[in-house]
Parts: sequence; C-alpha cells; structure tokens
Amino acid sequence: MRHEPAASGSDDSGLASVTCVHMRPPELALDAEAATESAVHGRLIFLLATPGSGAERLLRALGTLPGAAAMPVPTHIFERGVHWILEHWEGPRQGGPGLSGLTDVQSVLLETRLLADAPYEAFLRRTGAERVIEYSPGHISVADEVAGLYPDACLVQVVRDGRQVAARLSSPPNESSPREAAKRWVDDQRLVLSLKHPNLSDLRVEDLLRDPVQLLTAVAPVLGFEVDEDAIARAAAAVGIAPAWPAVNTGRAGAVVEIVGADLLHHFEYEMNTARLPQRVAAWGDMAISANVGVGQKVGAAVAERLARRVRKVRGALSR
Amino acid sequence: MTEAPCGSPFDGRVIFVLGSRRTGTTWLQELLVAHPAIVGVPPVEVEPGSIDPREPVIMGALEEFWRNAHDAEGEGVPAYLEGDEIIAVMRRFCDSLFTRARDAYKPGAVWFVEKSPSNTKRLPLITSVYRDAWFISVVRDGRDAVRSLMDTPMAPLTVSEAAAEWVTALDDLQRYRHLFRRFRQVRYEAMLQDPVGAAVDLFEWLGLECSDEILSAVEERSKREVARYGVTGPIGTGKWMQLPAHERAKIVDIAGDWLAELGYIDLGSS
Repeated sequence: MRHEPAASGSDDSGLASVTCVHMRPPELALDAEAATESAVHGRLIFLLATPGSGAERLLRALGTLPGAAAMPVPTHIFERGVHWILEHWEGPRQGGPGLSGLTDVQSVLLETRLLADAPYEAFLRRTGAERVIEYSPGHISVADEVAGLYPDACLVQVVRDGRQVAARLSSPPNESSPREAAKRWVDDQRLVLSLKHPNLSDLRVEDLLRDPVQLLTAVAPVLGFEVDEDAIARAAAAVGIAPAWPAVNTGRAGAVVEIVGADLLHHFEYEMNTARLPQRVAAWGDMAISANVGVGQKVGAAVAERLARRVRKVRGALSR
Repeated sequence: MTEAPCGSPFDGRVIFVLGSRRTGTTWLQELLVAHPAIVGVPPVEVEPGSIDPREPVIMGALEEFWRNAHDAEGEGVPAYLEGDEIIAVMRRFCDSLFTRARDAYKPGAVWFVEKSPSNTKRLPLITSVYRDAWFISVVRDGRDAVRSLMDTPMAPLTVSEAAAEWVTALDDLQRYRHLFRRFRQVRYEAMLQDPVGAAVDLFEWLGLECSDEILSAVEERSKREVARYGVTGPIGTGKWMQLPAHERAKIVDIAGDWLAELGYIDLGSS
C-alpha cells in the first residue's frame, strides 16, 4: 500500500511540491509471542464497521457484560496514528527515508503496538475492567493493520446491509457521493473478509436488532465471556429499540452496491436485486462518469451521456 | 526544563541536526558520529561510490498521532491520556527505536543523532518529545543550497521552489527558536574550511571528550563524500555563480531577506 501525502506539508522530502511515496512494511503480522509483551494482551475487542452500520449498539451491549467496559469515544488510534507510522516504513528508493533504517519490521510492529496500547491501557486502569471494547469508525478501513498488530485481540465485523449504509453515507450531512459511499462499504467488507485472524467473527446488525438476546447469547462465549441470562438481558436492553429501517432502501448508492458488491450482499445473505431499473441505470452512469483520467474520462463521459439519454427514455416510458 | 519527559536511556543525549536540504546536514552527522559515544543511522552505499543518507523520518511517522493527540472534539487519544502521558508514550516509542538502532550500529554509543530534512517542519512535536535534546542548525548560503538541490534527483521543478524551501526551513527555525533549550547554529562554509575545528567546538559544547584518536577519526570522516547523488566535481562554496543570471535573480527575489540577514548578500548595495 502506498500513499502520496498531500502537498500541504506532509511530505518527508522536506519539500511540499515533491511527491514523496512511502510504503508500509512487507509484512504486517506482529509475532504472536512478541505480542505477549503488551500490557493489554488478550484484553481487547475491536468492532470493525463502516460508519452508519449501527456498531454503537453492539458496543453499548458488550460494555454491560461482566468485566467489560466500552470505550465511550473513539480513539481513532489506527487511522490517525498507527497507519501513518506504518506508512513510514520505507521510502521509494533503496536507502531512502523511512523507519527501516532504524530497525527490523518486527521491532517496528512491536513498538507501534505498544504505542497504540496506551489509551486502552489507561482506560482499563481507570475503569478496573478486564476487557475493553472499542469502536472507531475509521478502523475498518485499516483492518489489516488492526489484525496485524493485535493477533491476541477479538475482532468483530459488524455488517449492515451495504445499500442502506451507502445511502446513509451519501445523504446529508455526509458528503460522500453515492459511488464513493458504495465503494467505502464494499472496500471495507472485502478488506475484513481477506483477513486471516484467529479471533475474527462477524454478525449482521439486523440480526442484533431483530433478536438481541439470541444473538448476544451466541456472540458472548465466542468473545470469551461467561455470562448468565441476566447479563444477556441487560446487554440486550442496551442494544435499544430497533429503528423503523426500510426493508431495503437503495437509491442510487444502493444500486451501486448491488452492482459492485453483489457477492458481498450474497455472502452476508441479504436480499438481492431490489434496485429499480432507473436507479440501476443511474448507478451505471455514476460509475462510468467517475472514470477520471484521459481516454477513460472521455469514454466515461460518452457512456454517461448515452446512459443519461436512456434514463430520460426510461423515465418517459414510465411516466406514460 | 531540560530533563526528559519520562525515564529515558537517552536522557539529555539526543542531538537533532536541523537544516534545509543540501545545507550539509548529512555531512555534519557524519562528523558527529565519528565520536565513539555518538550513533546515528549510517548512510548507505546505494551503488559503488555513491553514499546516500538514510533518514529515519521518525517524527514524520508520528505526525498523525500528534494530530490525534490534539483532537479538540473530545475524541481520540486525549480522551484517555493526559498531555504529559501522551508525550511520554511518544518518547518511549522513539527511544525504543533509537535503542534498537544503537544496538545494531554502535552498541557502545550513549548519544543518538537524528537527522531528517523534514524535521524543521515538526519543531513543536520534536521539542515536546525531546525537550532535553541538543539542536544543531546548519546554515548554508541559500544560493548554493538551491543550486546543489537542483542538481539532485529530488530536485523540485523550479529554482523558485527550491529557494522557497530554503526560506521556509529558516522561517520555521526562527518561529520556534524559543522552544530550544540547547541550540547551536553552524555555518556550512565554516565547516568546510575547518571540519575538525567545527566538530571539536560541538563536542565541547556537548560535553564530550576530544582525544587525538577522536580528532583523527573526525578528520578521516570529513574526507568521505556523502549525499552527492551522482554529482561529481569538487565540493565547495560559491558555485551558485554558475547559475544563469535570471535564476540567481529569482533566488534573491525569494530568499533575499534571509540571505541578507545571514550576511551572504548586502541588499543595500545590490
């Protein structure tokens, strides 16, 4: 993974106008034995969810379990901390700027892990809890780093129907376009599904809302909690009342998800092909117009124009 | 306040070499590590005869964590850690990596020298985490620095950009000068004239011994050409005169104030 820091001053060449490319380490997996040096070894539960998925409900619920504490606000420690450190592993050329000049990959991973531990360690100390549950909305986008640095943690992928998530992320006050919102959900889920982590599980938020007792009864032991019915009842109550979500409200963003993330919807057993024809046509147009370079842009514009004409035709036909 | 923010294996024994690119910072680091007590990340021979610096950019790596630590919206790291705890966490991170580098490159050393050109952009961060550090700024005639930079593979597109980079580094150093507890400025031109003398001055300032053996090591190091990036020809000052007149004028246009301030030009007579 490579990044090109913005010209605003993040570049490490010391010159804003020069594009400076850095790279993450070739391997992201902290040695499991080394991870035992951590003061929070085996005590963390990370919820991985695209924003707008309702992970906060599970966070609240798990936080009521005996010995557990839910962190009240996100740490953002990965997307605003760890990720940037790892991206400074190596420069673009041999011997170029980077942490690789200081030591080996495993040492950098371990020291980064110990740095990331700090807010969790402080929270555990303050609350006296045995386990801590955290949800930062940006963590799922760097889930490979979470999994790599925390082989001893439990990771829970919290999934909500991508069409609804994308629709929400592309509605005010959020600023994403339908295509960007859909891409965010799809990329996030694919990244988590690609992980090889010993303690990774997933659940659908719709199932949590439909029957919290049943779902929490199944999830708690997977996360290492020994709980009785009272504890589950308290946790289920913390989930809150299910909102009146529309069955499947797609819109253009949802239609894009159906096109580019059909396999994911299928994987998570969501009902398919709910987008109406005009929405699907508009979604294709969206994707075509998003082509952003050279010939691709021209082709994209031409395709979008043709699709727009089709949309007008379809709309005309529908109105008649 | 010159003590480390937490227990540190390098308490009061980290040196930051600061300066714009092509001002001699790599060379100064080379002179410093000639001392047996000082270690830094050594340059690497990328191809026969071509030795490039290897900058750790550790402070650049911590930049986002630093931003996180200053979250004003009640989220992020400061929701769980006090300011001094955050600084201590960052210090331990850096110290641990410096220790590993020390153990790999020069196990007997007790000082660490860090040199990354972008450090001048992160002075509040650096001086918070290493308030006990020693800061050495290298200053070179901006016209020579620009000309030299334009000869490298990392050259910016225009002479104007290179000049602006040199100015920005000096602006940053001036703006945050009050944050340095231990600060020394050295001139590249003086180093070139007497590298051993320059090194001895710095060793004495740092409180380090200077035996004949160490002086010989410095002298030997001073002859080693580093960070040439394929440029051949003699090292020297005043090579900016080879630049076309319009480029020289551009540099003075952008960097004139600093060139005059540092005594490289006389704006009154020009």
